[in-house]
Amino acid sequence: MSLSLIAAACGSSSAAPSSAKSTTSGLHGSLVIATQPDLGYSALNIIDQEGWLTKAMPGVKVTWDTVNSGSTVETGMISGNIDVGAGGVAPFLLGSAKGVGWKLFSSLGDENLELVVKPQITSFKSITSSDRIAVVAPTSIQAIIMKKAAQKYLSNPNALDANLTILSHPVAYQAFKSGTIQGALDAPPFQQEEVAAGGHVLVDSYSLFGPSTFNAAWVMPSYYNSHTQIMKVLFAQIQRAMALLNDHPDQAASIISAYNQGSLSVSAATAAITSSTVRWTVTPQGYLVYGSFMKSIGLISTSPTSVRQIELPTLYGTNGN
Amino acid sequence: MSNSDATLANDKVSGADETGGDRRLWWRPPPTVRTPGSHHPLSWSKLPTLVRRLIVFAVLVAFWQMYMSVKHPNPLLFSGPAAAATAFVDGWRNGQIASATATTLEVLLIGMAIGLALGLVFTILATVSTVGKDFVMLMTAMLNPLPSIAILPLAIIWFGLNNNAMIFVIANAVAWPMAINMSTGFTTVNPTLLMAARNLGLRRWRMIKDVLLPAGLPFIMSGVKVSWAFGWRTVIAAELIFGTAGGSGGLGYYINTSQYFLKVPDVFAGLITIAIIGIAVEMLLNLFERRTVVRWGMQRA
Repeated sequence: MSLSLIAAACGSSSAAPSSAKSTTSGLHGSLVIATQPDLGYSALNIIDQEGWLTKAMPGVKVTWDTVNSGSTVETGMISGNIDVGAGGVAPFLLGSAKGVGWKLFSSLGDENLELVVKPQITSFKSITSSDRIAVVAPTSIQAIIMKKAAQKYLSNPNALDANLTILSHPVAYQAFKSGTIQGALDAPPFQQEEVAAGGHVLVDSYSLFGPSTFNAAWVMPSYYNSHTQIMKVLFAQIQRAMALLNDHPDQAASIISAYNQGSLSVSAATAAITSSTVRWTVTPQGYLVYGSFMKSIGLISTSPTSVRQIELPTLYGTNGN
Repeated sequence: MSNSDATLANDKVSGADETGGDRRLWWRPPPTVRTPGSHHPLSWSKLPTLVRRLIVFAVLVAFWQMYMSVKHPNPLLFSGPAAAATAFVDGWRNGQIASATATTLEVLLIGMAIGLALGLVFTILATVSTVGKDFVMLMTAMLNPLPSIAILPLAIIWFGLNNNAMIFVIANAVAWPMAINMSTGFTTVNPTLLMAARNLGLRRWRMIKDVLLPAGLPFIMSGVKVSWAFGWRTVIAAELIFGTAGGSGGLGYYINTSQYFLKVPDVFAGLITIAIIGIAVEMLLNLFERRTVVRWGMQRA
């Protein structure tokens, strides 16, 4: 570990200034990036699938890990086994309040998350105690959105706690379709599939909090500071992937489909990438509003008062919030 | 070991013959016959069981604390004995661990009761009919290697998101190891015993009840122990996959949620609770064994 760190530090001092396409062959070291199987990580998945990092930094050993749980990413980052992790707004803020010390490296895009419910639920007041609503984790942004909705429509942020069921997105989708749960707040493409399966949108996250980041990449400042050149290359590649997602969604969709080894068709990937609920950007959004809400209901003890407190230099000047 | 002993004995016998026939040598018992632990007045095995176990426990805790003091692991990843004990006491005091434990035990005990009963029924079926035997052999071979948690998504579709789905996967996890152990118990019963029972006119049900079950009890007990472990693993894993956020989740859910909120001492408090229940059940099963198989001379204490 310390050996690779030294090697990377030596490499970065002699490295040529990097740009998206230049080869920074002087760089050495290792980089471990963790993502989860979700379209919200598309920018990183494109870089992985196309091998952009390896082409830009042949001397750096890049490892891509796909993990199935946000808490695995967190544990991996805290223990130093993962250099670049990624995840939602709420787990990031929770970890920051607990003193983990990670900082935002780049957003991976905004997403309007929708609570999809069965037709018999017409309003929040019509949710009965036997209705089950799925969210992916008790600390997920989806769980926070449910608390905000409960506060707004039922005057108590905890009013719907007993209705929440913790399910992964695919399981939630299946359970919704088979009728064992009556609502799901998950993520694309599942929220669209649930609407197609007869559900309707009861509330969306933008109407409660405004536009916000879905997933962002996080890095520990200690790694960032000792690997600034590698970090610059990675950030440039994320910007390149974002440009592809925005300007050539068809091309991006076929890469994403290939990355998912055919389990996601090109047309489905195109639909998800070009959905009106999504925006591909490196700018972090919504951290301050989510933070102050989580603090106001006692979930965290401290929340950031300015985005500069939680971002790395890559994001200075992007006007995040 | 036994081979080399035999060779050694042979050598001695032949040696003795050559040197003038000290024929007592071959039957003379080895001079150092000792029962284990009897050679020292203050030996470990002479201590009462409770004291021995407490000492082992204290050593384990000491190692735990030593790891904390030497390695200083990140408190967001690992918790020391003191913090874990505080979280344990707090969790029991505010009722969170108690209600989580009650939820888990309820599901686990129902699932295990059904699974053990099924294991028993399957074994009896396999004993009394060839079709039953074929069925049980095939099902055991197919389902026993499968982690029961793998069929949870199926159970959710069949039973919905409720305790019935969990009870189903626990029963499935328990039934097959139970059936395997029990049928091993039945098939290893001394044939003489079976012949004697047949001569006495015992058939099917009375044969099972009065001969096979008591004679196979050591295996049945080890089946229960294995099933208990399988049941625990399954219920905790199932609770990690789905739990209700409304405070009615079980221990697995409690541990998982604590981890999500980075409350590491609470994670350890949950693990300690599972460990203590494990010790309690082990003691209970040992007590039962002492009253049965040990007393009947089928198993050493």
